Formats: sequence, C-alpha cells, structure tokens
Amino acid sequence: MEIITDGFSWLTDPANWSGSNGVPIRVWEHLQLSLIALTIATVIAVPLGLAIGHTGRGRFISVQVANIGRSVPSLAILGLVFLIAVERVPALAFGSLPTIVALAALGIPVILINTYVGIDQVDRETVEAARGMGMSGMQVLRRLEVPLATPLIMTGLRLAAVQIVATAGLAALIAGGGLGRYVIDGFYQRENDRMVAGAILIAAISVLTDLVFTLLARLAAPRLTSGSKGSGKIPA
Amino acid sequence: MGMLSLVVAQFEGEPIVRWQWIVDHLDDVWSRGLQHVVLTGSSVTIGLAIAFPLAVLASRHRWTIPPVTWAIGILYTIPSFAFIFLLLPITGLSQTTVGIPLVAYSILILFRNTLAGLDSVEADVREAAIGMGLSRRQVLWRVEVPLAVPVIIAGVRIAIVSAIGLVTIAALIGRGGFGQFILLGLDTFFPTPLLLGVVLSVALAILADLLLLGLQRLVTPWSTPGGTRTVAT
Amino acid sequence: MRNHRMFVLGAGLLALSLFAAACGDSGGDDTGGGASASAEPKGELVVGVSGAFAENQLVAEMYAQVLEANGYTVKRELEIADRAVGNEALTAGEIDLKPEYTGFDLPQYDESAPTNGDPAAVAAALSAAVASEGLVTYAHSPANSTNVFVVLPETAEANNLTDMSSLAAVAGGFKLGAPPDCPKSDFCIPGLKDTYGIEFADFKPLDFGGPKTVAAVDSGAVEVGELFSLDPTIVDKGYVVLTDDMNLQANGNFIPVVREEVASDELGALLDSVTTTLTDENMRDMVGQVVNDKRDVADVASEYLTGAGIL
Repeated sequence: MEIITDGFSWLTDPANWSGSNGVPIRVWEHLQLSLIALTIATVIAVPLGLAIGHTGRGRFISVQVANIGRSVPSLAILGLVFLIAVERVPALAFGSLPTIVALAALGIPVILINTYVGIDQVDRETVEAARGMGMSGMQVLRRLEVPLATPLIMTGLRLAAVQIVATAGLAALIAGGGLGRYVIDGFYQRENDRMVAGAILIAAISVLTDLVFTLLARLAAPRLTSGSKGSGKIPA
Repeated sequence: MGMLSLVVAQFEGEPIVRWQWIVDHLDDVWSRGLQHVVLTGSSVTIGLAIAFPLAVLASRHRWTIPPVTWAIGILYTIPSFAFIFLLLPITGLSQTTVGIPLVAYSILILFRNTLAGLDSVEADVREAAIGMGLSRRQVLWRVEVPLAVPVIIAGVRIAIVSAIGLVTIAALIGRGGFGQFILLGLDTFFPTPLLLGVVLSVALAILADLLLLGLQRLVTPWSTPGGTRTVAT
Repeated sequence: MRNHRMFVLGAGLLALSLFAAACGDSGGDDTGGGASASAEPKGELVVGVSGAFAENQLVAEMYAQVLEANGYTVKRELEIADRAVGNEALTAGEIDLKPEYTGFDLPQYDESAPTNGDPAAVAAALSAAVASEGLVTYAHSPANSTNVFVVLPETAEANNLTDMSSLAAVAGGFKLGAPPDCPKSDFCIPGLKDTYGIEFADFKPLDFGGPKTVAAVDSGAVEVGELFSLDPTIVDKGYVVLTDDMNLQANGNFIPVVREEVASDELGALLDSVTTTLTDENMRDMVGQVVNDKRDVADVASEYLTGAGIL
C-alpha cells in the first residue's frame, strides 16, 4: 500500500508539474482528446438517434449495430483505427487523429441508444395530440420529444464522456499523449510512483467527469425528476 | 463494423485475415478462451458472494444504501486500465491484479439488482409470510430470495457481459484472455489476431448473454420472453 | 424447490470457474517444439527470455528444442517483458536459463566493466560477473545483435549523416522514435547526450525495435528511429544505419545465462551446439520469417535446427 502513498508524493512534487511532460500539459492533452472525441460522437449520434426515434426508421438495425459496437473491446477499437491509419494515412497515424477517431467511435453507441430510447419512450398519444394541434414533425421533435428525452440524452452523454475519458488513457499504447503516458512510461522505466500517479489521475478525472455530467444533467432538466434510467453504464 | 472491415480490406501486402494462422493457433484460442472464462466466472462469483449479503443488509437497514452505493460507485468509475496499474506494484502480474477490478465492477451491478429484486417483493407478501409464522431468516430464504432471483440473474448477465469486455485490457499484463490476440495484433501490426480477438470476445459475450437468458427462463418459466431486465446506471 | 434457484446459480458459476481453472492450469506455455525425447529422461528446465521479442524468443526456443531432444523436460516462459524481470526470475530460480546479450547484460552485474570491444573479453567479463549470483554462462555467438539508430536515405543525404557524431549538429531539429524506456537507458537518450552530445527536439515513445518504430520512420513522424541491428527491415527498407563511431552501444553476442544448480558439461555442450552456429545472416533471416511472414517462433527454430543438422 506504500506505493499508493508514493504515487501521491509524486503528484505533490513540483518538479512533476512543469515542462512538456508535466501534469498540467498531460491533463490538458487528456481533456482535449476527450472533449474533441465527445463532440464528434455527439454531433454524429444525437441527430442520428433523434432521426431514428422520431421516424422509427432503421431502428432495429441501428440498435443491433450499436449493441454489438458496445461490446467491441476498447483496446480493439483503438488498435484497429491505429492500424488502418498507419496503412491509409501514415502521415497522421502518429498524431492525435487515431485516438480521437477511436474515442469518438467508442462514444457513439451509448449516445445513440440513449437518444433513440429517449425519443421512443415519449408517449405516442401525446405525440398524436400535438400533431392534432397542428404541429409539424419538426415542431413535435423540438418542442415535445427533445425536451422529454433530454434526461436520457444527458445520461448517454455522461456515460460516453466517462468511457472516453477512461479510454483516452490507452492512447499511450499507440504513441499518443495524455495521462496514459505516465502509466506506460512509468511501467517501462520502472518508476512505480509515476505509474501509480498516472493511474490515480486517470481515476480522478473519470470520477470528476461523472460528477460534472451529473450536474450538467440536472441543469439541463431542472423541472424533471432526477434518477432517470440509462441503458447500461459500462465500466471502461 | 461493416465500414471498418471495408477499410481493413484494403490493407496492402498483408491479407486481412490469414486463415491458416488461425488454424495453426487453435490451441491458443482454447487456452485463452479458458483464461477469459475463468477470470470472468470467478470474478462475478466472488462479486455475487460480496454483493448479495451487502444487498440483504441494505434492504434491512435502508440508511446504508446511499453510502454503500456511493463507495462502490466510485470504484466502478475507476477505469480498468488505471485500476490494473494501480494494483500492479502491490499484487504483481497475477490473476489478482485483474480480478480485483472485475470483482469491484460486478459488485455494483449485482448489489443494485439484488436490492431491486428484494425490494420488488411486495409488502403484503412479506407480511403474509410472517403471519404464517416464518422467522425473518425463513422469510428471506423462502420468500424474498426466490422472488428476487430473476432480477439477480439479470444482474449476473450484465455483470458477466461487461466483465468479458473488460478482461481484454488485462492483456497489458499478460492476463487478457482473448485480449491477448488483440494486443498481439496491435504490437506486430498483424490484423489477423486483432480481428480474431474482437470476434472471439464479442462472440463470448453474446454466448454468455444467451446462456444466462436461458437460465433466467429456466428458473422463472412464468416470466414473459424478454422479461425482467434491470438497467444499471 | 424455489430456494434451490439461488444455489443452482451460485453452484453453476462456481463449477464453471473451477472446471475452467482446472483445465486452464494444464494449458501452460509448453507448446512443444515437436522434438520427442530420444535419450533417457533428465531434469525439468524452465527456459526464459530477456524480453518478449522475436529475436530473443527464437534463441530461447532453439535452446528449448535441443534440450527436449536430449531428454530434458522443458517449460517455456517466453513472454517475460524485459531484462530486469528476466534477471529477477533467474536469480529467484523461477527460470533456469535464458539467452542474453553479452554487453547488454553485463552492466546489470558489473557497472564498470567495458561492454564493447573484443567479444571474447566481454563474454568473459559477463561470465565472471554473474558467478557471484550463482549463474554460469557458456559460449557466445558470432552473431552480434546491438542497437542501431536509422534514418531514411533522403534524411541522411540532406543532412550529410553517416555516423552518430554527424547527427549531433542536426538532432536539435529531429524527433527520436525509440522504446518507452529510452529516457532512462544508458544506451539511449542519456548515453547519446553524454557520448555524442546529441539532444533531440522531441522523443516519441514507440516499441522495442518493432513495427511502430518502422512506421514512424517511414511516415516521417520521427526522423531517427532505434532498431535492432539484425532486424531485416533495415535492409528491406534501405534505411541508413548511423555508425556508432564513439562506441556507445554494447556488444550483443548471444550467450546463455544458466543457474549453476542445473548447469552441467552436457547442458553446456547442448547450448553451445546452438549458440556457436548463430550468425548475423541466419539470425536476420529467422527474425524476418517471424516478423514479416508471421511464422511461429517454434516452427522457424525447428526448421533451422534441422537444416543445420543440430537436431
């Protein structure tokens, strides 16, 4: 257990907080990778989930694909994207691109499913009533379905964010940056304190992400009851 | 997936899948499959052994629910990658280093589902049992637990499927079951084992899910298809 | 009847894992090189490696197969991550022998002895240094596998690069791609700085002479990459190897390091029958078969041993 203390001592040593390998830079890299990936995943998955939920078209296939996609190990997604990048776009393979693509791919299924389920669970009679009042499809979506689906969409975003932040640690395996660097380099350079410090930081940042998105969800839906159901949080 | 395989299909020089390599490594498929199953099965079993009494305790003493949920919830949020490397200096390259995170993750799922299962027993059923002269212990084992079984099995399903995916990360310390193929593919730029590892671990997850669904039906023949499934958040 | 359900579930899970655990133990790593015991049975030996990469696994596998063919029972531990772990396993008796590299292993036991120069002298120094740890060595190979730093031909031409000394002037504009332990290794960043005054603009942690380093050099993600000298990729890709003109790198002749307890003249003769035949050429060829053709280490090793008349 002493090693955990060593990890914390490493974290409080000012020498580890400066330079290109310092904690602020690595945390920033980690957050940057995660944020870009989450944004891409959201931009793709939310509209898709809304369209599927609203029209009911292609829902079987997309839910199946998303479910299988969710059970593909994150290490494998990262590995596949990296190998493809080396083969197809070698000039970009050793930058942030493969990590961002892999992390976005990882976030899409859970956002998609939660968005779709969020829309799908809106009472059909209410929707019919709104249409009867003369609302257009777009209006029904915007004024009725999206607000009612917001808690579930936010749950999807939270689950995706936590998983992305957690998996960003693996970027170090494909020569990327972020906090995983401390873990992998500490492992190979026999610096257990650095390795443990990296693991502590990744754990802390994941727990914080969970908290922040829980708060955001409350802000986004202040009038609705909390404690909404998600469709399966997966540890990453 | 379809899109991915299209892109992979264009790998130059190296075929996407060298079938002969897979045939030559069937013994590895077997031994890694066993490792995968052992790690998953034993972790979830231990997880259940811990979560079950905790849930019984929590259903009796409701005030314990928030602190217990909070504590195991935090463990649940620690990424497996970080968890494994936190434990590495303490427990070394052993099964334990992988087992502890897997057990921790399954505890949350199983605790919630067991508690939900116990809670689903209606109060008048419980009172009727007490009225018939059953002791508290008898009420638990003869009434509450049997009624909670479907929800508990639903929890076991989720726990097992998620553990199967998580084991693959343990490849980094040589304990990853099918994940070992994935890491080999990544380390040697060799798509065959990488794809093999993906297909095998996804297949194992689907198989385990179906088997447990079957078990769920077997023990609760009265339940409707697709029956009880509690979601974990 | 209902109260059995919980039991059935628990017992089922337990039985499943116990069953699997029982089977799992027999899995192990002894893949068997195909050689059947022709002589009378001798002791059991555990053969390890000093790193889980093809070149070292090949030599370990050859030792294992020759020992098996001569009556030993051999267990293989070919996934040991690196030298430090392997050396600990050796002194702890978890493994009985492993192939090493003369000058690279030497500093683990004797920090002052010269690691390069006359191969026989370095091998002798290693032999003397490991004695105090209860270890012995046997003959070393003609093959010398050391670390090399490579650049693309265009980079070499544009910057007039021929040797490591010529790199010092331009390294400030270059990125280095090397294993993740490089910032700590005396043969890498610290050594390059002390010996040549080389300081790179940036360092990318990649792999141990593997495909990531090759791809990074090819794509221009790094200008300089560290590879193993017997990696056939260097020749295949036409990389320019920068000469180690100030002799920073150690000698990398293969040599078996063996626990004294299991050592014998017969064992030594068997190991020598493999080691002394290993040359740069045949090792490079075998590494190529594993790395490029994705052949199994055991198959390549047994083919070589049979072809060379050792088995």
